Amino acid sequence: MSKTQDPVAAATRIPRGDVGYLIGAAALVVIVAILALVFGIIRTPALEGLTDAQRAALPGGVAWTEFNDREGCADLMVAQPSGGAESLTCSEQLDRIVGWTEDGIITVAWTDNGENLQTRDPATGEVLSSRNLGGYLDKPDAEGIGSGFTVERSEGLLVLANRSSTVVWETEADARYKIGTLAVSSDGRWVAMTDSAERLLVVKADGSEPPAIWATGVREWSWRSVTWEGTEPPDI
Amino acid sequence: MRDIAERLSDWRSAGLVTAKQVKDITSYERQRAAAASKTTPEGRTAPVAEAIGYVGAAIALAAVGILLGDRWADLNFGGRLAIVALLTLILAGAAFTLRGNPREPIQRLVSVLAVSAIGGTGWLTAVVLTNPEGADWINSVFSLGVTNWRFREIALTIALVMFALAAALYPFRRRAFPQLATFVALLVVVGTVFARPAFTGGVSWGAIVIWAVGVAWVLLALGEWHEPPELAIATGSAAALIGAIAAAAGDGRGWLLWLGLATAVALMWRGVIFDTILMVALGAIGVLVFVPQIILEVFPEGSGSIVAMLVTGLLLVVFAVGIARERQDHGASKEARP
Repeated sequence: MSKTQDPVAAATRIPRGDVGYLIGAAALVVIVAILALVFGIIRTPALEGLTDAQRAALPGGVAWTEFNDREGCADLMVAQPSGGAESLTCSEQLDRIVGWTEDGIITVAWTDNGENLQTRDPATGEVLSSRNLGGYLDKPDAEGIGSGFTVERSEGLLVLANRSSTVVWETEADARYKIGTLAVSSDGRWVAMTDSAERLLVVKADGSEPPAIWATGVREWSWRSVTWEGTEPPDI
Repeated sequence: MRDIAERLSDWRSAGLVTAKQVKDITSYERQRAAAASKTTPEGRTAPVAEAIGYVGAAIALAAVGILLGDRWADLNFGGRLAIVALLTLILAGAAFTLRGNPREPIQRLVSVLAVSAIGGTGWLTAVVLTNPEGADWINSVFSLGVTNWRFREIALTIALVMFALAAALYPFRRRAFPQLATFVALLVVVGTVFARPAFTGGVSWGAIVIWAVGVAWVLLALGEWHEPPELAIATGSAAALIGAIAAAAGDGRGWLLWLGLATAVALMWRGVIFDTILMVALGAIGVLVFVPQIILEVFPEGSGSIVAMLVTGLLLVVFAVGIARERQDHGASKEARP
């Protein structure tokens, strides 16, 4: 006769249930899980990484802010032509980027006395200068993807076009695949954009080449768009 | 109780009694033992002592929480790791030490301690993953890129660790607390897996999988795989209904509402047939939730709400009559017995 250390638990361990119910329960979960994997996963357009030639041709880096849910603060993210995405600093006050000039990355930060316009070092994220605006700046337009670009969909195709209706990118795509925010470089030759697969893509503005993946793990954060190096801030 | 358990085990192995009979005899003997213990002075004071013990433990934990809350930010990685590991070890050690005590209140306490130790392990995992030193250490061992993980990856890992431990504990401690811990951890695993961007948008597959897990949990309870089955029926039904409600908020609303209604009606039907009032009640709640939504979906104009109320009311009346007739037949068959 078997011995046990736990008599009460032993009493409840003895019963073994109906195998039919066990098989039914397992079959239900397995079938639904398979359906979820087959129909639930969004298939994103397969793209290549940036080539050395493309990296050399880019006019500069891009910067953006994204919410860091590990630390509960906003990351100042930068992608340089030579590499991927990197967090320069994480600040609870940091909100969005409005320009990137020779002086540094121009950011807007929350304070109790309205918003501050801060110029930050593009290498370290350190605040170089700060000016209180005495109020709050108007938010960028949350509608659309930015810079007057449009996304049209028909029969499984995604078509990205600029304001002159030039097709910049046309690809087969799942209806749930989305372009996030988008910005045109200061020389007008390149377009950087985020997508729902958490990628930073870059494409030639004339649509002569398909987009390339610049960085991965880029989290979409509402209207806080990517900003190219060489972008002047609005008159403030 | 121990002798009875061992004998029942032998009789079950020999095919002399069914699983249901084993369960009924065990339940009967446990109730008899509990009633007998209440007649002794020791037995009368046990529940009071247990309640006081839990209140004391809650006060002590709150004090530790306040103390840690004030100083947590000042602690380095080693300090945090040591405190959480020590608390977890104390809980696990206490559960291990007391596990052989035959008294029911102590057995309940062992379950609470064991599940708390699992919670402590989850906390320990969080400390390792969210501290740069811990993340670097994990990276050096497993090369997982933990330093770049976001909250969802950390939450998934914690849930997986806790689910693995709870699922390992539950077969050896078939009681309410381990069962609940296993189910909750499983739901969190499903929720965090389907929160990934690869699944977001369109049909809410995560909610549909939660529905399936809930239904499967109820099926396992009906098949006598869960102990106590009432808790599994309640939690599984709730998960199935909430999963269907959440799924119907996304794409495919039409058929997902019907899926939710079918689940609710199945719960009520099963409850009526087998005289399980808990399932009838949960099913009725489901019907109340889904029928109005379906009718408003079919008749989006103003009259839909009145039709919804009428149909819901009539459905519930039909089921009430069904329950009454079932009870009447059940009573009549008992009286007719020689």
